[in-house]
Amino acid sequence: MQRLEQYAEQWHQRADRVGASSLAMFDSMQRLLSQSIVVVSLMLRMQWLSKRAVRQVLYRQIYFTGIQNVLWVVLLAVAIGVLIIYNIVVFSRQIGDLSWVSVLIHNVLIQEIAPLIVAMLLLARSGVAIVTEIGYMHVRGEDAFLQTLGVSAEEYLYLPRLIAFALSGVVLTLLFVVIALWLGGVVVVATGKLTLTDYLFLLQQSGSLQVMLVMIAKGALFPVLICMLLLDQACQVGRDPNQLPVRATQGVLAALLVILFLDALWVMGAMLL
Amino acid sequence: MGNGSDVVVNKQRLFWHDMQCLDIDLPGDEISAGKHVRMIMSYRLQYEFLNRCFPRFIATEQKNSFFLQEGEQIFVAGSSEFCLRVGSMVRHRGLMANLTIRDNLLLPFTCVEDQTVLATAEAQVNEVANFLGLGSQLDKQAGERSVYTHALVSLGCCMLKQVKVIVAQEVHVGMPPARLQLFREKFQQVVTDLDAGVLYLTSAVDHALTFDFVHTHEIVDDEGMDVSGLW
Repeated sequence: MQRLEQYAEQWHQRADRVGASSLAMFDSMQRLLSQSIVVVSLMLRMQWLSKRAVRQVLYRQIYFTGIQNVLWVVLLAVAIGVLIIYNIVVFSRQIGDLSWVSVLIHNVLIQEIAPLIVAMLLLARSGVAIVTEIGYMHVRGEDAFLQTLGVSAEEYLYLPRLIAFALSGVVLTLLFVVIALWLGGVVVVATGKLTLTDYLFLLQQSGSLQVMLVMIAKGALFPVLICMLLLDQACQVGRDPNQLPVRATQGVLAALLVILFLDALWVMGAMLL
Repeated sequence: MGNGSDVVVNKQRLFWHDMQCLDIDLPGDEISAGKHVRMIMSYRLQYEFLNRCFPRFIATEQKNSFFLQEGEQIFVAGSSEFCLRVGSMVRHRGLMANLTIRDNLLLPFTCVEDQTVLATAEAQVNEVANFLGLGSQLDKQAGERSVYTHALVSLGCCMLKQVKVIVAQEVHVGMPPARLQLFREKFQQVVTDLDAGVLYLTSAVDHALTFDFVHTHEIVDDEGMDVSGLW
């Protein structure tokens, strides 16, 4: 009887933990959603364009998130993108069907790998900086200072970062694709796997507006999601500096899982349609 | 007066009705040009009071809100018109570390759409900084600064905004005696020049700055000392 009670107690505790985690998860989703609605409505109202402070933060964020990441994107495109294209061509030649070159380049490199790699780069490099910077502002009480001045933290702190992430994501993804395709072409032609004419012909075969739109959509959506998740984590730091590394790691991990999960859902959705 | 029913023409006055704050009754009152009020209460009440006075969004609840009357117009707490006309000085919450002192002084103006307000402030910022002794620091990044510098920047913002009402929360606590005296003199001079009214929130009667307070409200908080430091 006593053992039965102990088992029951253990299961009660497990159920409590699951319940508490679920409630915390729904709470954070609700918080994220309401914050997103506020930020999107501020963006659509366009009043931020006439506020110098907001524009200055936006330019600074575009510089740190976009321009400073160009070199890393170029390196990744050279290292990974070129390798992928070379392997696609070699694989297609091995199976004796060169039409797979265009299919794999468009469906794998342009629609999947490029947006994911750029998103992960932004997450690793700029995402951690967001949690640290905004989190430390909360520790110092600067969010309260902005509140007393009537400055909206959503408009001054969050909106510029979201816009910078979206713009940088799209431009850097495009840059990755262009460099990978161009240098990849140089390598396959130089190694005699394909002639230049064949390579260009195969490239344009499966190309379509849909491929470009998917690339742009993922290139914008993934960084925006990353930014929103990390901003939410930064706001949870409160006045405790010990929370900074905790929230940074939790945010990075959560953002990574979310974009991978979302990408998988996207692929499944595309297959069903 | 405590019911906020008097109408004063062509003058600014900040008023609030009797309200409940963290289950404690706070008396309503008003401040206007040259009229200073002191409220002695615990830190947690001070922070909650400030949260009501400067809410994140425009206050919709009439009962626990603050209002600024300017002639016939009434601005509710949380609106941009309210924040631009009410000076705020919160202890050690006077600037942003990653901006320069100049950008900090101009921050209330660079976040509004009206460019003429910004142009006026930019024309006066050097003079204000020199008066406060921050002239040589204007283009340096603020970084981590003392309570004194935070208080000076807050005061500078009030000067640039040309406010008639100032809400101050123990800005001087933590200042060394020599700087405290300097700050008292500057604060007094600014309030006199602006002909402003001060609402001073403090936790002890002997912490008060040298103002002639019309009313002193002492609020008893049964919870005792609070160190939440929410703000």
